[in-house]
Amino acid sequence: MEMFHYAYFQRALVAGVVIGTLCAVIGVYVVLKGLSFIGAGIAHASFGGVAIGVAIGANPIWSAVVFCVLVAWGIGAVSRLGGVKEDTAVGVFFASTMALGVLIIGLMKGYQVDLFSYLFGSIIAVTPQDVWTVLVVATLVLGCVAILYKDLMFTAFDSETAQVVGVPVGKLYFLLITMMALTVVVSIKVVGIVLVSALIVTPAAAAFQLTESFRKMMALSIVFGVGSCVLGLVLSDWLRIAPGSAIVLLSTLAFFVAALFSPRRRRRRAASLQQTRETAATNTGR
Amino acid sequence: MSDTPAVKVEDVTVLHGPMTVLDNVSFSVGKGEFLAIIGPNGAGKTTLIKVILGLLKPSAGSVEVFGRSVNELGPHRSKIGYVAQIHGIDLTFPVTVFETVLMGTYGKLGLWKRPGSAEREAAMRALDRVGIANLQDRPIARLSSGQRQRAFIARALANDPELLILDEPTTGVDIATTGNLYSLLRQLKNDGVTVILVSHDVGVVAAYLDSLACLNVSLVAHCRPDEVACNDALREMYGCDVAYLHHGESPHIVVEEH
Repeated sequence: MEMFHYAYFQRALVAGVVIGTLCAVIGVYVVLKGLSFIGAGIAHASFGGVAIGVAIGANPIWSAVVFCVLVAWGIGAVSRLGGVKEDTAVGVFFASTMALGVLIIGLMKGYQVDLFSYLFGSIIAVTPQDVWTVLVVATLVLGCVAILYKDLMFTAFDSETAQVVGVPVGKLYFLLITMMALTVVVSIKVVGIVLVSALIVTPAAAAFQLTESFRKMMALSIVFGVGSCVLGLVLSDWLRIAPGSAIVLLSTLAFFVAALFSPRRRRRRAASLQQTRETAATNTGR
Repeated sequence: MSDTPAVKVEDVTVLHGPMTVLDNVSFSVGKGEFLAIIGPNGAGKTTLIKVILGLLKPSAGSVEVFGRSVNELGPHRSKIGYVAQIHGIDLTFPVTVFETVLMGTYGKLGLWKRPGSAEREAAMRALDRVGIANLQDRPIARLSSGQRQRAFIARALANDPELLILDEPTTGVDIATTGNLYSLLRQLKNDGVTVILVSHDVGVVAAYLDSLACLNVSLVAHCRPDEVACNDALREMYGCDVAYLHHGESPHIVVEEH
């Protein structure tokens, strides 16, 4: 356990705990509202954002934040106002912004960006500045969620009725995808662009299997998210594997175990068995 | 201002691509009136409800609610209670009956603010009113369809609405619950609540209604349920004779087998 004495590992651990919490909380809304594809789209767009940052000599994280928020709003605007289906809008944006990133990186001859660490995450790539960025963004996003907890829940559950009684569902939707964009970007140093959307979706999906209470789903999602991040970082340092892979595979394991013990699934099976029996009984009765 | 209608629909037309979903529909609903909108499937009933609620912008025409344009209702929105069609709602959502009903108070409460004891009491009153106070801690996923419908009606009532709009509230609900629902709607009407009920089911209890609107893309009739014009309109819509069945004190509208 000597890894815990190294500064780089301590930084990665702090970032991992905060990112695990952040992704797990946002993930609950993403899973319940069915926004996981937007999450994947925003994550891929961050590649374009990172490339722009590298090209203009700015901090790639901040350029990615600006770029991803704009892309998220673009997806939201095109799908909500332009009459295009949401997944189509994501499909258009996610490939084009990634292509833009590849183009920019290609044009910068002789410049060696450590692309691998952005794509799949890297423990040693987490700088002290990154840790501060993660903390600031997490405070902002988690603060927003805490303040608008009930309104976000109502919108996720039944946005039509929420709109009827005067909840500003349109604004809350844009706020949610903005928070998703921020969460994605601060997570890419640790988990990587390709895998970050899984860290948002999987812990919340595992939690959903185990409970029918919103609060418990939130709590369990955080346990799975933080647990996968911490354990994944330890494993990746020990076995010299990409942290993103270790974290995402651990949370996927949690998902399958949760699904196995899911009271939701068991009840569904019992209900369908019951129905089969009743149908059989009716048929024999005839 | 007591003669301002609760809802005024003027020349509303809704086009969906080449289809005309609603054609030049106009009517108004007075304060405290109980209106049922009936019509066959695909008649545009839900579309009309969404236009009245401001969820859908009509291609032409205008809607006023409480004497204001529906898009400029502001805080008056919280005086609307809405019970949507059950199949539009995610019934696997992890939320209890009480939490669902409490959501009804969020519009009036506004953003940021947490529900306090006043809101909790209002939610409990609404649950009592529909008779499922004992189920308050049950997740909505574990309710029967009748119990679930009551929970959503309780949510619409939690805010003491002045206008209650229900879209097909009896779908998949047993006869006893349907009967309870109609007597609850009558009580609300007696308390001065304006009620608009949408149904494809012509078995609506006519005795409680002030008026009946027969919709099939355009408004075929808008009249008192016992007027002859309504019988003609129903015959036109359903293509068969429609008669009132007197059962006890409440006449039901029935369609003959054909």
